[in-house]
Amino acid sequence: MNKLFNDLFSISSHSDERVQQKQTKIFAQAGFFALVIAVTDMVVRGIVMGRPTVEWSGSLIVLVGFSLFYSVRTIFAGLYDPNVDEEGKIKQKIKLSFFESIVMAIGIAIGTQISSGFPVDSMEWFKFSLKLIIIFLVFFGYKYIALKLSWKRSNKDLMP
Amino acid sequence: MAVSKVKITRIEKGLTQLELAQLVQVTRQTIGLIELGKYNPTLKLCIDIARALDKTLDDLFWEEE
Repeated sequence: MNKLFNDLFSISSHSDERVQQKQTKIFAQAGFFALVIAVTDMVVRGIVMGRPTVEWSGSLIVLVGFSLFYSVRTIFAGLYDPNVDEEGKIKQKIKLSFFESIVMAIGIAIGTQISSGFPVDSMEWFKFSLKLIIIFLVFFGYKYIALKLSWKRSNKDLMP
Repeated sequence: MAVSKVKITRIEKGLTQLELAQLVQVTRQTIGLIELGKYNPTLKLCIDIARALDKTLDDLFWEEE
């Protein structure tokens, strides 16, 4: 599976390692350049000019696609957090991610609540709490899975 | 700049840059850059070059301080 993926997305198959390295670097820079153009387009048309979403949705798709591809590749390459190189550090990192996710969830939940006003009755508080829990679960779930999976992948070939 | 050991050995063996490049499956430019010290080859390529020139890694790439 991994070999098939690497073959499908191999940027350079030149026998010369120097040429391969240069081509890979140039392709990476070209990809980053495309991303910068997409983000610039979103900022200019979406925020500065206030154009309808449909006009810059293509750039949004590029940004989301790039982010997803980068995240998945990073996790499966075992590079989500290269500093995690022993069992103890992964537990520490999960603890840290837990608290980061709580702060993030509270921040986003309050931030999205500002425009509609803060909850007044029990039903609104329930909705607010549900939103808080969902945001926390999404953030922490992603970080937990990414850390665990990345750890497994980075040690895959080192296991006896 | 000192002439690299790779270049000296290659010339002693009567090989051109292109011939050595073909032996180790790289481009002539890569050999040229290695000889000039402007490209750091991977260990695999160092071993390939050493084998192609019948030398050890130390003979070709070790530099006394």
